[in-house]
Amino acid sequence: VSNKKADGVATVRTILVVEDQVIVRMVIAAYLRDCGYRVVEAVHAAEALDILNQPEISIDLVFVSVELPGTMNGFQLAGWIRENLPKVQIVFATNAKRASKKAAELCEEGPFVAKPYQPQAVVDQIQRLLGVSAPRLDQ
Amino acid sequence: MPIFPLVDSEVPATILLVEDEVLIRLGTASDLRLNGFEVIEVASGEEALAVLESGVRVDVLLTDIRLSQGIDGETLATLFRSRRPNTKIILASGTVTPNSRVGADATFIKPVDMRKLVGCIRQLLAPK
Repeated sequence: VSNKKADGVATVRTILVVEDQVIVRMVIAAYLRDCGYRVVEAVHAAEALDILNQPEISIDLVFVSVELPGTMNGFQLAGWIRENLPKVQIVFATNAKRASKKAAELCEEGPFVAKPYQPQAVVDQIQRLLGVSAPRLDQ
Repeated sequence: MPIFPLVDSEVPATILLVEDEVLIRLGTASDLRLNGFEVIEVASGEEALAVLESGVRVDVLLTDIRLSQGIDGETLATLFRSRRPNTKIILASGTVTPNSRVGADATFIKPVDMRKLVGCIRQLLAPK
């Protein structure tokens, strides 16, 4: 996800995070904002479509959970995006651990270049807020 | 580094925004962030309760009174009032007159005037 201009000045890119687990969505969205991205949030596919159908909200990348409540899961939403908005990139997140890794990868290439903190901190934060022990990213 | 601190610290005030209409939520959250606040966006009372249970710091609960499913904004406000007495509560509504028993710190009629809302939040959070 390269977003650097030739002169080295990064353009702020907009990421739509679609995740129905509020704690995961909250922490991942905050992490991506700390990386310098503009982040908008949707709880399920219907909300995501409301946002994607607004031409003034230009979404560059959709960060989507595979399992979503409602009539459309993450794969089906991705299918709609590929058909209707082929320039929009899609990143799938299957669980909090994978979401944190994927978010960290986006941060590596994001507007601030460096990660604001290690992805393990993101996983730890999610697990702590959910009141369960954190899995290790290196496992 | 904590993403959402559990205790008071020198970070921007955090607003828990409860709004079930996604485009209104998106616009309000964006305006509040531009004014320097941290915003946690949730779409329902149930999501707001999950945030409450998580222990994340919430300085201001800003909730719509009418929510399309689950618990309404006034019930949520009452729960916050008992569990987090220091959290300021702002109710917003299109038509409903807020129940005075909730004891909200402020109420707004939608569409909310953002300048007035930001001024209100700053006033509520100002050191006494």
